[in-house]
Amino acid sequence: MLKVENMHVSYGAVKALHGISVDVPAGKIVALVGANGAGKTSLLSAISGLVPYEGTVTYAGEPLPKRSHEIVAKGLVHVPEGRRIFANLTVYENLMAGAYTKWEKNGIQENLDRVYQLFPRLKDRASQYAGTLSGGERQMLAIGRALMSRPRMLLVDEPSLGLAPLLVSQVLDLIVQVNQQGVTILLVDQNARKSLQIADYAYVLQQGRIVKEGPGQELLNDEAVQIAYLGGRKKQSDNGADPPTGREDDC
Amino acid sequence: MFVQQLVNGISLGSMYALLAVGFAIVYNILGIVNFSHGATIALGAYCAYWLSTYLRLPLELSMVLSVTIAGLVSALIERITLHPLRRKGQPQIFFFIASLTVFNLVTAIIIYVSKANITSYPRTLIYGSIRMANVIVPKLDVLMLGIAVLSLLALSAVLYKTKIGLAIRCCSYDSRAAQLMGINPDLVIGTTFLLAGLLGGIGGALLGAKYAVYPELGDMVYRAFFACMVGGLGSLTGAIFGGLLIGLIETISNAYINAAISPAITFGLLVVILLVRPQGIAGKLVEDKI
Repeated sequence: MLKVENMHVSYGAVKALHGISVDVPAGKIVALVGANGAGKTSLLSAISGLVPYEGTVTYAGEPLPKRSHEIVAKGLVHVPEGRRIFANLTVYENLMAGAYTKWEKNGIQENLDRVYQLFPRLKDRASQYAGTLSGGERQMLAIGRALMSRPRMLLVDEPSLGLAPLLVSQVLDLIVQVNQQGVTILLVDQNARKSLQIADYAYVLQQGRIVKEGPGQELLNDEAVQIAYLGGRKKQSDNGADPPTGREDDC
Repeated sequence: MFVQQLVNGISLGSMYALLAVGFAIVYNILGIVNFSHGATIALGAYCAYWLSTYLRLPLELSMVLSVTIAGLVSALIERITLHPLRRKGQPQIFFFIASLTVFNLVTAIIIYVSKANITSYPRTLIYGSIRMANVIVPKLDVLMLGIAVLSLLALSAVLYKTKIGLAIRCCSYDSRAAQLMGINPDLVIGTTFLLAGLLGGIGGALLGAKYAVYPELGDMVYRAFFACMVGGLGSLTGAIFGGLLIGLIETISNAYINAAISPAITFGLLVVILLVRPQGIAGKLVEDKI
């Protein structure tokens, strides 16, 4: 569905991506794993037109437009990480903003019902300002807002950032649900273990390059990936060095 | 006497409020103080004058056309000066300089065309006044207040009830996130300048009727700027409040102290307010929690 070939991104003199190629088949969940600064968010921002890039991106067999609003119109929607909801608008208005490209009366109501069904909490809070929502609710709103445009594919950036461990699982489960409704997903999340568990396929990024790729389950069992991104193996290690525990995301 | 000054002050203040709101909506979208707003104010007055004097159109029609022209010119200014800068990703100081330059350019053109004369509209509009008990209110003041209220209601209907209004509010908060909703920022910014220009045009046309039509009428933009600062930059209610406050201070100091020193008193008081509350009266609190 989405094919990124040889993408380069730089911010002034600093290169963030050094020729990355990623393939996201229709209907699948593909995850990007890597430390902070590996280039995951740069990749998503470049695809969604926020950051200029070199290289080619094809979407549904055609070259992807370069300007954000044209990309959204094609059904490819970027869910920015949770704090980029419109805090000055109500929850309902945020959802309506998401429906900007699908502004037909009947369609809006149908989509709204669908989103409320998926996130009943948003319905309860419809008339509240989005700035009053909790972290988990903001994330639901960010995803719900993206669904209002009836996307064919979502780029989901750090949905579990800053959430309590219980909520992390819930939010990622919701992403699986969205995927089961037929939306292709490209996921970036700091919780590498959980995102590999739900991903059909995954890429490991390191300093702007892809260093490993494979089915999610395979990477979960890969020793190098475990040591680098999953807090090491639980078994005793040969060199006796104790990997940090408790925080799975950092290394 | 005092009540009468109060009415005058509110009516004048309502005009400043209109100008200030136009100034504020652009500030909200682009984060720049847009002095080219002054050009639309001056054009609002001059186009009405030219249309009614040279084409002999009825003054009311001239004013409506003139307001429309001011709105379109505002959008055009954005398109030919600010838009290219935005595309190139220039820093905001460039926008500021560009908008100030456009303001001066338009003023210079008006001075040239009008030969720097101070003129006034044909006396066909409702001049004269209404008398209630011992309060005498010029009809024009009532008209100004009425039009200001209607314009602000119309603006709020656009902002809160329409698709483009929603898009404007989204872009004001976070224009990158708005783009991710599929909102075209060029369209939104253009529309915002159009709205601001309409407000500036209305203010200019009516202030031209109240005072006179003169090339420096565009300098009213500084009052709009101060109204926004005092109200809290970025807050539309603050801008309205600031506008009313400036109108009142100006009228009252004018009536009770001295017309010549009235601007000094007005701006002096504003400086004091800003020293006490740098964020403005309705200054925004931090709303994003980490």
